[in-house]
This record gives sequence, C-alpha cells and structure tokens, in this order.
Amino acid sequence: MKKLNMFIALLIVISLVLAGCGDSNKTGSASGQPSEGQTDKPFAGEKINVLILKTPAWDALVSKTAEFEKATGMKVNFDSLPEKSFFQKLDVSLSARTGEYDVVWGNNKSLPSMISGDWIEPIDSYLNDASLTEASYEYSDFIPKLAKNLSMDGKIYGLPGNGEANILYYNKKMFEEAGLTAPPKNLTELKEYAKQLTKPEKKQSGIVVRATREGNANSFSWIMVWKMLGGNWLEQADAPYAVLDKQAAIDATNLWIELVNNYAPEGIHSYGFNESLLAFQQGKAAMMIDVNTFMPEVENPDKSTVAGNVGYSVLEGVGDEYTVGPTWGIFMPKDTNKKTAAWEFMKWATSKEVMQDMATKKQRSDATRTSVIDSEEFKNNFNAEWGEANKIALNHTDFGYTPLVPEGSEIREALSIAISKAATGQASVEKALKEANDRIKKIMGNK
Amino acid sequence: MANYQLPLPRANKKRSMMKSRDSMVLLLLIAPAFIILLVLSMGPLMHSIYTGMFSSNLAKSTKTFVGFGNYKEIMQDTYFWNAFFNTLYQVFGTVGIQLLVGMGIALLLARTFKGVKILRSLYLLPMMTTPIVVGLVWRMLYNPELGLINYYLDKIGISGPNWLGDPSWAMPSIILADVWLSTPFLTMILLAGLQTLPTEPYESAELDGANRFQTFWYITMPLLKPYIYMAILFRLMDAIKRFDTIYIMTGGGPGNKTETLNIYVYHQAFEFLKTGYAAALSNVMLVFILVISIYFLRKIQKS
Repeated sequence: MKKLNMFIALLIVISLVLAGCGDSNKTGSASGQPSEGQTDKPFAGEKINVLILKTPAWDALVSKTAEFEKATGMKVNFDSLPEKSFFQKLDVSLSARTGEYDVVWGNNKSLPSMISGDWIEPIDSYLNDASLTEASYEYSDFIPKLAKNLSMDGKIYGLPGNGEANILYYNKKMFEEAGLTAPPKNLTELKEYAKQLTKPEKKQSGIVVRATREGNANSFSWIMVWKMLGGNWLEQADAPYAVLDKQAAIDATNLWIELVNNYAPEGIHSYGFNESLLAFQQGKAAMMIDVNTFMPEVENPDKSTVAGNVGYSVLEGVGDEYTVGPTWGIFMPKDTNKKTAAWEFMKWATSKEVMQDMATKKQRSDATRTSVIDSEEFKNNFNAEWGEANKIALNHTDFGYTPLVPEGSEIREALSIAISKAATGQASVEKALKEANDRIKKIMGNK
Repeated sequence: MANYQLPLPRANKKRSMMKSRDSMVLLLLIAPAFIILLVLSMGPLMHSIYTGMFSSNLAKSTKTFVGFGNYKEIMQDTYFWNAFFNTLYQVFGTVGIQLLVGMGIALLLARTFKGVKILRSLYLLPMMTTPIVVGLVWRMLYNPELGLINYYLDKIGISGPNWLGDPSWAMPSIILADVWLSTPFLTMILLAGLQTLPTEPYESAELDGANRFQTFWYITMPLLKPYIYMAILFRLMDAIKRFDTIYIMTGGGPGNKTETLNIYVYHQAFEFLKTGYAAALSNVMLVFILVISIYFLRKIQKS
C-alpha cells in the first residue's frame, strides 16, 4: 500500500514537471503565405517589423502600405501604439538590443537616448549611395529645419515623418463679439486679449493650454512662454540646464500662472492636450496654444462646434526659434539585420509621392516636404490661414525645448512639478523653481 | 494559519516510520510547486538586488558599481521622502476608511433578510472591474466641469472643489476611489469570518443583558481579530503597490502631491531609464512591505 502511495506520488511529480515543459513541438509555419519567389519583386519573402506611433495620419499610412507590399513583395508588420506606451516600448525594445524592430518612429524626446545608447544607425551613407537612394527622393525637399532637427553632430539619423510646432488657435466669433479684429501678436497682447475674452457669465474662458503635470504637459506650454521671454537652456556653460533660478524663468512662471489661473477654465490643472482640445472644440475657450497638427480635429464638424470659425497665427518672439514642438522621425535601429529592406520602407514612407497623395486625399496635413505644403492640392484642401501659420511655425520651432540629453525627460519633470506646485499654491514661484533648479543640478551631476 | 500537528504517540516505532514515509510523500508532492515558486520569486529578487548596486542608465553604455551608493542617494532624495510620506498617507487613509466601512457592510450583509444574497453578489461588482477602467471612470466623475459629482453638488447649491487638481483634495479623491474599488475585498474576508463565529457566546451575552454595542465590542471584535488582521495585511500590501488608478487619475500631480513610491519608481525606471536607481528604490519598497507584513503576521499568529 505504502509502496503504491510512493509510486503514485512519484508519478504525479514527474507528470507535473513534464507538464511545465509545455508543448514545444508545434508544427506548421507561422508565416502563412509562402513567398512566390517572383524575380521582379526585389524583396519577395522579406518581412520587416515596424514600431509606429498611433495617430490618424499614421493609421492612414499603415493602410496605404498594402501598395508598397504589392510593389516590393515585402511584408510589413506594424506595432502601432499611442504616445504614452509608445516610448516605453521603444526604449525597452531598443535598449535590450533584441533586433525586434527594423524601423522605428521616434522624436526629439527619444533621439538623445537613441544616440547616446548607440541604438540607431546614422543614415548618411544610405542617402548618399546612388544604388540605394534614387535622385528623385530629394532629401533637400524636406523642410530644412525639420531635417536639421533629426541630425546630430553632423550625422543624419532620421527622416522627417511629421513636424509639430505650437501655434495659436483662436475663435473668430468670440473675437468679433469682444471687438477684436486681429489675433494677438505677442505675449503682452495675448494676456490682454485673454482677459477681454474671459466671460464667466457665458462660461467662456480666454485661453486653454496644457497645464497638467502628467507627462510633463504643463512645461510644454511653459517653455514656449519662457523662450519668448528670452529663456534658454544653455545659458550657463558651467551648469547647463540649471537656469530655472534666472529672471526669465520667474517671469515666465508668473505670466503662465496668471494666464491659467485667471483666464482658463476651472480644472485647467488637470488638462492635458485632450482636455484642452475638447474645451476649444466645444467653444468653451476663445484661444488655444497647441501644436499645428490639431487643425483637422478643430475643423472637423463632427467633433467640433467651432469648425469653420477658427483663425490661426503664430505668436512672435525673439530670435529664430520662438515656438516649440517635437519633430517626429523615422529611424533605423542598429540591431536590425534587414537594413536594406528597412531603408526601402523608410524611403517609401517619406517619399514625395506618398506624402503628396495623402495630402491630396486629405488624409494628412502634417507633411514635412516643402513641395507638398506648397502644392495647389495642399493649399486647396487645408485652411489657408492655417497653412501660413503652419509654415512659419515649422520653420521657427525649437527642437531642443526638451534638453537634448538623455536626462531631458527628468529635467522636464523637475520643471513640471515646480510649475504645478507654484500654480496650485503649494509653494511660491521662486521657491518651487529653486527646488527644481537644485534637482537639475543633481541630475546633471550624476553623470 | 494554525500550527496543526499530528499527535505522535511515543515509543511507537512503526507509527513514526510511517510518518516519515508520509512526510516524504508530502514533500515530494509539494516539491515541484515549491521549486517553481522559488525560482520565479528568488531569481528576479536576486537580480533586483544586484542591479540596485549599480548606477546604470539604459541610454548610456556605462554601468558603474556603486555598492550602497544608490541607497545613500535615496536617503537624501527629497522626491523619495515626498513619495514615502504620500504612500503612508494613501495607504493608511485607504485601509483605515475601508476597515470602518467594510466592517459596517460586512455586519449588514451577515444578517439574513430578503434579498441579502443578491445584495452580496451586487456588492462584489467593484472588485471585478479593472482598476484602469475604475481610474478612468473616477477621473471623469471628478472632472470639475463635466463630472457628475460636481454637477449634483451644484444642484444642491454646493460648489464642488476641483477634486484632482487641488493639492489638498487630490489625495483624498484618490483614497475615495480606492475605497470604492477595494472595500468589497475586505468585506468578503470579514463576512467569511462573521459566518464562522460560534453562537454560544452571543446566547450567554443575551442572557446577561448585554446591549448591541457591548455584544459587538466584547464578543464579535475579539473573535474576529484574526480575520481583521488578515484583511488589513492583504489590503496594506495591495495598497502600497497601488499604481494603476493613481497613474490614470493624477499621474502624481498636482506638483508631486500624489506621487506615491510606486509611481516614483515607475518614472525612474521607464521614463528616465535609470535602472539601477529604480531597482534600489524597489528594494526599499520591498523592505517596507516586509516590515509591515511581518508585524501583522505575528499579530495573526498570536490571536
């Protein structure tokens, strides 16, 4: 009996251990269709994986990829993620050097890490090699500022996917009612207009911006104000980025707080870009400062009650870079072993034909090629006033609004916390900024 | 857990032989699960301790050994202490309120009246919802302009606060949402406890003319003690690790008023890619949880 017990117990143990091994002998191929091996398709049977950002414009590109697959015989798998989870996936995947992706999207937030971690390939050699890049691709056609934004230390790393830059959206009807004929030109006028346009009895606010601390959103609108007042990350050679105790930062914070606490909707301190956009679309706010790429959302009558009634401009500032915004690019990871196929796709996705076609079909207004934004179709398809503001903003955007070092996000977090503390009365402006400044010194000292 | 041992008559060799055989079988049966658990939990823990000894950033190729340098830095890190006290506030606020509310509801549901069974199952609903969804829904409810809470407060003439945007209201708002989400769990444990209580003490208390409150305080409470401690222990561990709802509702703001340890670790690891520092922070958190757990486990064993 006892022996039998032992035997049974042993059997159970063995079966459990074996069960842990799972069924590792799956049969059949996962690739589905076998390649047809046609010779006129140079990439027949080749498969690449692409990490792409999820936006309406890029979704349209994903659907369009079928044409590319047909022409080349290549199979393109997309992982399409919204911004919040996108960067995590990007950082984790690239730093683990898995070679999981052959092409990745990215922007100025990820570029310093991608370069210092040696995760991406410079693409000069691909662009300059006539056998890989035909002359008709015309790299020089990209808006110069955006092309420059994706280059570092004299090397080109990314192809401009789309450019974002802050512009001013304003509600023409509300302007008329308030007797205002033109958009504000600078910060001083912006403050005055915001005051005039704030009408609590109508539940109308003067302005909305991103003001939540989440995702460092508040510092995005703050940095623009700060730069317009002459702020600059690289002001001090001996302590780079520790410039938040300077007068420009204090002035910017005071002005920013005045705008959001007096002339913005209640609850602005938990507004990200979604809430901000919604408030403007619903006619709750007369002005909005946010990226140029929201235009289709604002002009979409299904989503926006103010469609057809919106004006666009760019606030003037000092110097050559007086607005802020990220440039999104398309990059090639170092660890891909399908570099030629990856390059072929990158070229196609940013080619004149594709970008022009998508603009003509009204699928995207965030084109990065001069020839496209100057084309008749583009001008006819999209609001002319926006087109003008868009062009100015893209040519004058500061790509380095987040410090261009791997610690950039952390520096911005310290700043975002300070702004949020000062704006919600947890600390005085000077105290909050000093705290952030000390933290930045610490972050940068920890090299 | 009671320490249950088979009575072992002495001087009975045969019996003890059998017992050792039996325990062999028992050990063999437990072994696979135990080994798997050991590998799965100790492996990552060792790795976390190892990683915590380095100053490393995913975006930099350098990895320098700093020994306990990270821990020294943590002790001087003002953001860490802020997160630490926020966590205490959140955890004790949540568990304290839940204990009171949960006990009340457990006492109510332990009675028998018409429809109590339906009520019991209905009451479990919050437990089954995904915390992410709970976070999103509460975020909408709390919205000062579009949210239902302030809408109804307006109706009765109260101007509601800006729940998640006001520094003094943000944490209480998070605690309130958490109370809604996880009180049922605590209630379940207490309810299970209530249903195992013997009836004799109650009968004699009734004979002695004890009133309701006395009965509860002098009989129910002491008898329920092990269950209460167990409930507190589980909830505390859970609350310290709470991430999803807070991340969705405030992301740590306004300022860093609601930045708890877990949110802080997340920022350090996944946004700033400081793996070494984040691992060290996680280890500090682990010790924090261990200390609390051991205290309550002792209490449970004593009672």
